[in-house]
Amino acid sequence: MSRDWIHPRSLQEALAVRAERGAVPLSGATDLLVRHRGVAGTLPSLNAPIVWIGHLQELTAVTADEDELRIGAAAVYTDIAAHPRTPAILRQTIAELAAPAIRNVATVGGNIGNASPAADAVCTLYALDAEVELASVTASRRVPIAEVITGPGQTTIGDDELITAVYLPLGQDEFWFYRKVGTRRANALSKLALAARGRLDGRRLADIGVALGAVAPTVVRSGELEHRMRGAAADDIAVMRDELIAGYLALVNPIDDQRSTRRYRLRVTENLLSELFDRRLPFSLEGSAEHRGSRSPRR
Amino acid sequence: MDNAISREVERVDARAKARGETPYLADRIFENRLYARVVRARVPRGTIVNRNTPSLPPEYHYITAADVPAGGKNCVRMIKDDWPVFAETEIRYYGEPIGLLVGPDRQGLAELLEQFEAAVEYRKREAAVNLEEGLRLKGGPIHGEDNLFADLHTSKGDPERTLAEAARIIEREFHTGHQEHVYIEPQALVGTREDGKVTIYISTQCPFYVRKAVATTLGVAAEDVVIVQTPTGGGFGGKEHYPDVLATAVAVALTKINRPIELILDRMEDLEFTSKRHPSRVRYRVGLDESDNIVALDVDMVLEAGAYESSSRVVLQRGMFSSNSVYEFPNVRVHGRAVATNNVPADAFRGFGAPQGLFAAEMLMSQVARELGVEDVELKQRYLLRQGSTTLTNGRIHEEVKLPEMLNHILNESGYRRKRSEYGAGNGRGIGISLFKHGSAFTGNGEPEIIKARVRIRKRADGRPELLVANVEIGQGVLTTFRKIVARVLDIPYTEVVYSNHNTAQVPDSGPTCASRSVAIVGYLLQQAAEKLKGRLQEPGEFEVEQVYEHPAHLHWDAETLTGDAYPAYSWGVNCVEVEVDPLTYEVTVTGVWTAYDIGRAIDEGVVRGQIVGGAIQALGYAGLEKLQNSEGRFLQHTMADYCIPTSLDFPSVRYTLFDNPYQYGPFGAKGAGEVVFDGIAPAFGAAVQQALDREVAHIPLTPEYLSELADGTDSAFHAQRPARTADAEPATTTP
Ligand SMILES: Cc1cc2nc3c(=O)[nH]c(=O)nc-3n(C[C@H](O)[C@H](O)[C@H](O)COP(=O)(O)OP(=O)(O)OC[C@H]3O[C@@H](n4cnc5c(N)ncnc54)[C@H](O)[C@@H]3O)c2cc1C
Repeated sequence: MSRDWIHPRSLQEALAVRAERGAVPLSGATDLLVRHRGVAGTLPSLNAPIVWIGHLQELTAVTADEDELRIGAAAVYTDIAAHPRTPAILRQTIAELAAPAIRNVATVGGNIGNASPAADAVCTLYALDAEVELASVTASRRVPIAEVITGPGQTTIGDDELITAVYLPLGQDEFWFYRKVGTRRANALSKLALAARGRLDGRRLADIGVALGAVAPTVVRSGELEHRMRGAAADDIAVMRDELIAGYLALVNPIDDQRSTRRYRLRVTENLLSELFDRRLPFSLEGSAEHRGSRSPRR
Repeated sequence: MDNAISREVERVDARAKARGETPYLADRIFENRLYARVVRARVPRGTIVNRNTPSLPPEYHYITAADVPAGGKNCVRMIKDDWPVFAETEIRYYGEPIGLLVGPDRQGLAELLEQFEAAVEYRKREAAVNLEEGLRLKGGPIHGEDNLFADLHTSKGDPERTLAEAARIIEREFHTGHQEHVYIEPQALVGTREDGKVTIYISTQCPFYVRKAVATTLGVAAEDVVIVQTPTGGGFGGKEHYPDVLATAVAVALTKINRPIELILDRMEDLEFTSKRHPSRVRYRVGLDESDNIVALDVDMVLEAGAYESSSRVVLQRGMFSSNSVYEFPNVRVHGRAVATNNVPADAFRGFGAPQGLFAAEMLMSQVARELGVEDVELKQRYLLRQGSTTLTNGRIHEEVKLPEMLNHILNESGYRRKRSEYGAGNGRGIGISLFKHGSAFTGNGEPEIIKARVRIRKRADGRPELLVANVEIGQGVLTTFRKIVARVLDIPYTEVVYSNHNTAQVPDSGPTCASRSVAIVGYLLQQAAEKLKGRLQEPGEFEVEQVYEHPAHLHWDAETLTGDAYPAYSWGVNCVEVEVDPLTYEVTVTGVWTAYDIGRAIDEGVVRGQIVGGAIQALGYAGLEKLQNSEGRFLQHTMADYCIPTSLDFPSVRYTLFDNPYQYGPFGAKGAGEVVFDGIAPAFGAAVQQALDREVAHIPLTPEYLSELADGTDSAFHAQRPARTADAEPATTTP
């Protein structure tokens, strides 16, 4: 039982505490304290010291330059969504994540650190080619998000490291498709999710990123399948779509749990991929921006 | 009688509740109090081999069955005495209380609880954790020889012969699941001693039930136990009997510990271990003659009762009596069983068996219509009960039945017929209608023989009338409606009426707050009592008038054969639900809910609207979202994140229309409104989904997972279509 709550004044101090005492970082607390909660009148059942980081100014800013958005690890969802350069697909993801009160305190750093297969922001960050900045007292490194998360609750974040920021490349995407299938309409955890974005070059796919959440131990993204799609025209996709779908289905491995079933997750993943390949790649649209970002029509 | 009483007034409790000022038990601090935690079994079935009771630090106490006083009884008296306060050796469900830890510090208690629960050694037995396993006696019988807490029959006409001679038989089977109440305030009580008497402050619907249970456990006279109801944050039936389970445990502790003891369940504990709605399986055989007329109905209803009997026998009766919905068939036979399993006991939940029976009955009618190739509304209209009709228990429908009018209204308002044909079959859109009724008050002879309600009104020295009744506010508005009834008789402002005493030592037993009976039965007694007070408010001093329940002479009931008037009167409803099913994800969007009710007369339209909207949303959750799945005797869903009740974004607003139809024995003509508003939503939703998918729906909850299985299959029109629509459905607006 931890009665050891550390409230550092700077990132440096936080990193030092983390290195010296193995303190567990606490940002919005919406995962950590939920997981370790006890009944009313008791403390969370956590055996390590806790270091608060949610208030650190070095971590809360969202800033953009020409071609990159930097989201501080402790920036809250509300602030991320409010930034003018935040990609629309991420804004949509946030709009469907938890509820306003949670979004006012919860952070992407926490979403990554928690490493849940059902983490919604993480799924979209995969599709967006996000890179994660990790820092320790002595060093800082920047790695693709897929190299940070290795399994449910498993990350490559060092014992002395903190996530300091997430970087997103900007200004490339022309279309996106996001669909979260939650347990209900609001304040719901994902049964599965699909995040896709990309760019057309004339009538061909110049770039595409497709991420599938909550259907495998980590978010599924396939460089190989995306490579096959790159350069494809509408006709090519129509020819390849069965193979593409089969390719993705071979990569996912959903489970039966308290929220859904393997069978359902497979079926809906297949449906959403069909929807993406058959209808959501805007080959036929003549560049009307409002038609290029979309989610399924009815929710 | 005009319906001026229906005009909405400000609820007397609204402001304090909206401001968060109402003191619930968790907000109160009893001086010198100790906290309690329930020590629970960690096997779904078995026997305790060794408790290995760890030692206790000073100031902590461990209370078990051994502490039940001589002369008392280790049981929670509800209807039967089978549910022990503390399990002695036999364990019937995961989480069954085996003891109570009491101490000064909640952190310390949490640590002890873990030690105490982990220390117990069990001999595990194979558990029966669902209805079918209970019927199969998996692991051997839990109760008696056959696992049946109740095995009941009722019939009308000559079902044997008519079924045997039927030209055609249509058979169907329906299932409904568990449901958790999720009242906002979890179960809560503080037990103490005041003036030498065990005194329990408690969040409850039924203070006199708690008193009866505690007195039985302690072996003392009922008058030696005092129950005080505290502001109660919702009940829905979950605080009808379940508070007895906790109150008796704390009462036993009070015989050893002379300090106030607070027991407030944590939300997860409450979700996992308190009573639930009974799951059901209903099988039908419908006998038709050569011209496709329904001539006989054979019903086999099974409710899963869980580990102990609690109210299951009565819930089953209401379920059975609802299993023909609002239709008159000449020959009916109903067999009902309540089967024991190794799950938490099921108990009262808004509707009390009727939602299960009505879901099955209404789905049946819509499926018979499909099979006969007629529109289900046309089929249903042929058999509607009317004034003078014989019910399936051979009782009479005494009141005028306004269903035809109500149905027409709903058909027009919803555009049902046009949409029904426009949407076609299996195109992802559907609209469904249900018709139903709910008997106000206790089933059969409950009111005259068991409850025998009694109310008093005191004329206080200051000239104000004070209501002395046992019925309590649980969010349903009774603090306001009772005042309005009495104020109207006395021709004074409703705010002049005092209604604040909820102490069993000071009010007469007007019965529990349940069964849609508070306004219909107790409100009427108050109206009658107020008549006696009329013109006497100016008299000096203090005096009381009393009114005791008198059963209307035209009602008859035989409890042995289950024949006669099962209820004094019925509230009636027609619901219509419209849906779109997402062809990619099978998520259902409800695009419209239209409702019509005959509840006699609304005592306050605002209060009734609260019931209608809340009831509909709670029932949509039951029908489409709320799932409790058992895995080895435990529910997989035991957090609010995984047991999903609707949010305000999940369903559109609910339209409603009230049909005034004053009831002679109700206050200003009112009948019950608390449950009928829940009953009809699930089958309307089911029928709508059925059209959207062009598939027969056999169970709820209709989760997207279940829908995806229904939609599978090569002949599915639904799967062939892909979304083409772009506009979001317009949310409906509420129109009174
Ligand atoms: C009611 C409710 C609804 C929710 N709905 C959703 C939802 O729809 N979708 C969804 O994805 N999630 C949801 N969540 C989960 C949660 O809100 C998110 O995962 C959120 O992003 C966590 O952020 P946080 O700042 O609160 O994390 P915290 O709880 O503070 O931390 C989570 C984990 O990350 C670690 N961590 C935090 N910051 C850092 C850092 N800078 N460096 C290294 N490690 C770090 C912590 O040590 C901890 O292990 C919900 C939670 C609740 C309570």
